Amino acid sequence: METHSKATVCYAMVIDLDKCVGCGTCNVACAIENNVSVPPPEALENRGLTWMRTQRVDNGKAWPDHRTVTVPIPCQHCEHAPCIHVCPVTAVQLDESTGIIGQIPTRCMGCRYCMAACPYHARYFNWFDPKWPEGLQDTLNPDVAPRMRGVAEKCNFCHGRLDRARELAAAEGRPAAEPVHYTPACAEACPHGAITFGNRLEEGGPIAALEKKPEAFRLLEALGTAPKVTYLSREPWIRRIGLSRLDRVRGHGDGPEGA
Amino acid sequence: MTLDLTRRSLLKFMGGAVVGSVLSPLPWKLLDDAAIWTQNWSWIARPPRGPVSHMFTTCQLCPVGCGMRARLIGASFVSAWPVVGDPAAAGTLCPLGLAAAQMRYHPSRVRGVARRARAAADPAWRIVDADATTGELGQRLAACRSRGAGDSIAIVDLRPGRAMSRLYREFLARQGGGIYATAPDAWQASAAAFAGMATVGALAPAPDPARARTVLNFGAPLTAGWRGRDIVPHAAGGPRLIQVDPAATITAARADRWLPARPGSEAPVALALAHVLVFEALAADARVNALADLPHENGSTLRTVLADFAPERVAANSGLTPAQLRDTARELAAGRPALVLGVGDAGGGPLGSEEEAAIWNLNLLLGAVGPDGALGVRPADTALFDEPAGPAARSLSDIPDGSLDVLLVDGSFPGVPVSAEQLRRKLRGPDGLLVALSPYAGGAAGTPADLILPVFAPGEWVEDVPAPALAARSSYSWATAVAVPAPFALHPAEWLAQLEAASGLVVPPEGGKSGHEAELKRRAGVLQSRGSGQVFDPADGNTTDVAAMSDPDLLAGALARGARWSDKATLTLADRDVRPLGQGGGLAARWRSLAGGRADAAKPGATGSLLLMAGGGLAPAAGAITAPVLNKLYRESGLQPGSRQLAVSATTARALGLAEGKSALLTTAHGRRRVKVRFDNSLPPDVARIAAGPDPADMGDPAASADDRTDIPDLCGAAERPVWRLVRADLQEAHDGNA
Amino acid sequence: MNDNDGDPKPRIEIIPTTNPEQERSARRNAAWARVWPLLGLSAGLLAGWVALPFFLYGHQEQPLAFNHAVHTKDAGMTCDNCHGFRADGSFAGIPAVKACADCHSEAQGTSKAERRLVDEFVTPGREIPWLVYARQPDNVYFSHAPHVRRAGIECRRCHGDQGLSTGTPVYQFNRISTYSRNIWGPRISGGGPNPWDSMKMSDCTDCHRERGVRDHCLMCHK
Repeated sequence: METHSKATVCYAMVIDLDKCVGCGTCNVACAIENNVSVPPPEALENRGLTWMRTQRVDNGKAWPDHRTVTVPIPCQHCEHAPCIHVCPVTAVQLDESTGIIGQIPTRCMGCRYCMAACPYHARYFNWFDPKWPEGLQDTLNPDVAPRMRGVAEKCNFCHGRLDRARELAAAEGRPAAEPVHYTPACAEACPHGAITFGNRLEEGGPIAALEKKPEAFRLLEALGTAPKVTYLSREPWIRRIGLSRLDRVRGHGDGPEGA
Repeated sequence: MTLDLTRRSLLKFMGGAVVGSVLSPLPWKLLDDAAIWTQNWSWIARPPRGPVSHMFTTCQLCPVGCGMRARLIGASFVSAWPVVGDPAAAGTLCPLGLAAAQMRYHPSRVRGVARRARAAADPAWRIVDADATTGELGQRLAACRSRGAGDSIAIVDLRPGRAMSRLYREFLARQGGGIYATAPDAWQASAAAFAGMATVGALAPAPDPARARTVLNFGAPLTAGWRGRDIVPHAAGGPRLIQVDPAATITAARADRWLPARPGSEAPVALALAHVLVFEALAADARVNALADLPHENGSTLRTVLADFAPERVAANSGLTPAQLRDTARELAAGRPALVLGVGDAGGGPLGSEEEAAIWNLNLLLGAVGPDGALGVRPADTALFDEPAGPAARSLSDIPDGSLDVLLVDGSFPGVPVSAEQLRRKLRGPDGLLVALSPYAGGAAGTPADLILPVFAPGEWVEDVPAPALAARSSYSWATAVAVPAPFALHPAEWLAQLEAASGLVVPPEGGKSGHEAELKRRAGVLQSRGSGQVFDPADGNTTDVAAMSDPDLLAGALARGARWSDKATLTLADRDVRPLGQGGGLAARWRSLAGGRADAAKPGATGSLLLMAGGGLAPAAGAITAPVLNKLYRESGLQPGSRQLAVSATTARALGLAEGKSALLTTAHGRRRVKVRFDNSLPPDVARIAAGPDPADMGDPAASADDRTDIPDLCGAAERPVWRLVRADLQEAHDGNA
Repeated sequence: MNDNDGDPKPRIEIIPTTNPEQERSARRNAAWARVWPLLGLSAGLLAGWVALPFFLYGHQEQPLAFNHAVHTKDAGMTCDNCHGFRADGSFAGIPAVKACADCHSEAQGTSKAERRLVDEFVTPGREIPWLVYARQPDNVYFSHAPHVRRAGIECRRCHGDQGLSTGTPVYQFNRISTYSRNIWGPRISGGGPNPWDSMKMSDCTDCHRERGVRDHCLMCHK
């Protein structure tokens, strides 16, 4: 009998900002894995679709003391997710068996309350029909359904890959659906090994150990959303970026030490 | 009898019908289906369906040649992923490689032999008859041959060292002495500059940072790149890194020591460090003294030349203090084996022969060459594969302007730092024909071309990938075919054979597609019979020694499955087989002229308030055709600068009256380009930086006007001078409202 | 007020028309007045229950007549001989023509369909463009492995007695949603007498609920 136990699996991600160089590989790997379309050139800058957005933050000083950090921000998969509570059509759901916040585009009616509610700007809206150049639909991933204009979308920790891993586990005759091991596209592609993904509840697993490190912090912890994405840095000024809201529009917001 | 049909009876009927249909599934089913219909607009893309399978191949989008796991759904090549354990790029794949599957459907792909009249006001590509065009081109070649004007034909090979490269050279030899040229990028130019240093054999430098305790690096993002050329950071067990970088980049900020030298001061900084080594830090080292006393030029020695480059004299113009330079030299001396890497910011083209010579000589003085050093050597590709002497490879810049009737450019490699203007200038007048063998109407080959032959896109055919320049070891793999080729695409070797036949020659068996395949097999056989090195199998992650392979076809079979051969060790040079660079050519004088730094070698009288640096992007080079999804990096997120963003510090921009995101015109003595101002406070004052990397138009977005399409190499004058990484420029707000 | 009490006011008498034809007509109209709504009702019901399925569904013939019964009864094959799992755990669905060619590289019998199979598909190596009755939309994720391998559900539970069918039923598709009629079920109101008659979301969730499987949108949607 296929039943999921709440207690065994909670997927979580740890991103080491001291290793991240802002190269954008996670961003592209994510777009390829999840069929994220490219808006037309005339689209405004803040109408892009980037499930894994990388925000550049600096320490607010001038050359030569200027320092930059790049912060990859996927959906934070909050334990207490504001987007769930505001959705009028239940298109957002917390899967208690995995901890993943799911967004169902075919159910979404496009009111964008969730986008307003998300303090991390991790949700994106399809302002345009998702179009690919002629023939390119032949390179889409069948494990992820393409969305349509007028719905919101966001990171779901590569649920298509989780589905494939579960399928393999079932085919191999493993008795329970959970836990299975899989790696999201961003974690697989990161050339600097900055992204660690796994089951937070696994005993002796890497995630639990990393989350307990003194250099660990989360974004906007004071809001009580309890994100499942944790960041690491040895630099105190980088750890302070978690205290304030990061601007969504690209650019180079003044850091915590800024004027 | 009549039935009086009144309005009332009709209303009654309709009322009944409404009640009836509400009691039937009609409205509910239609509502339901209509809702589903909105989920199934015909223009929503349909992913392919079918069984999942994987094939292993090698990426062809930059010279590094990373291992790649192609994911196939049915017969559709849908995506590419890194191969764990692959020796190239530490088993990673950059965004270009990840998006490799999209290259086959790039919007600028040419779907037939395409031609355009460049003289026309609006030169548009027209698809023309393939056979007639090849015939016409063949007649041109025959005419050149009969006049004995072999040197009016040239092939520019943007990726030398392949089996195809050999076919090009043999083709030219049979045509009666055409020119075989290459257009070296920063890495290839640096490797080529090494050539005069070793006095034995055809050798290529093989610097191995893994064997070094300290690495001094000029400008390249060595720990903050896409790993293709990266070194292991010190924190992860790699060497200590000393970064010479004008900007406070992530590599500079995380390096163990950062020297914020002024742009263009690479040569004086390297010479000052050498000065300290010879006269102070290593003055007691007999080996260093012997190397410093080797003859240099005009009876002088390296020691006498270096005497002029004391840190105190160099400091003022390099922006560094004498103490910084002395400390760095002492640190290098104490941290041996040390290695100096000098490609600069690779996006800005070659550093310049003066800088490269100074950097290789610095390596020599640090004892990097030799059994204890980190600078090994490996056989040059031509030596590795026992190639017969065809026409020797020349650099594109050595071909005189206006000398060519037919110029063929191999553009199977979508991104290299070739200036379109430079290629056009080589042609003799308006009748000269620039022919691109390229899948795309864009990129290095397609942009300046008159005629495009639509060859296979990456992934559609089997090609070989030799080791990249400055690789620590020789390597060889095949980019195997993972996708069904487009019906209109040509095999370059097959087309070359057709051209040869059309020019009135008999195609020998080593030409054509079968000749190309035979050459691939021959190369595998050569490597196997050498018996050295090992083979990495991506399917199981195992490594096998070539010496243990008994069957002579085993290596070719492994390569066909996507395996990679790499040499285990590099060769070392004895001190007696090396000499300092600079014999002849007045290098000492050129070094002295650069003592103030390489600021502006532009047209005389050029002025400009800003010093413009080319570089700062991670994409391999200008004129790169890149997959549409990379718009996410270059347009949507602005994460990578791309060639439309000009980075400049906030203070400098505000002094010019420019705000963040403003559209501005960047003018140099060579051209102008519309850019978007981006504040980047990691840059020093009065310095601007623009990446030679791709432009959204190279990813399939339409370009707005000519000002948007000026190549960065052309903007910096690459057609006129070999070193184009720095130029003076002016920046002013664009008022045309066309932002 | 009562009309029948003795009121001294002159009584206004409605004199019926004397034309019997008119009288009949009035009576008929009065009868029709009661029938019109009923007529409308039945027209509405007819449109919904009879005409709607007729107009809503398009019909397509399968490219080849296939007889399951010959394979399962006469040749003694089981479902997973042709509809098996791949090494990665995914379900192969309708087999590729290569699987047919394992037995039918040459015609074994005399049927016209088999001859066509060999001549048109096996010999040229062309895939048969089957119209899949059970095909779900792109936004639905379904994997056979957890249902068949882990939960041990029989093929018949969802696919019915396909294995005993002797021919290929006409493929019917919804003209609006484009999906196969087998998703909605043969009845226009949805479903049918058997549990395998429809493959709607409610069929999935009903079974999950029966078996106590936790439901979550992303479990079946992608």
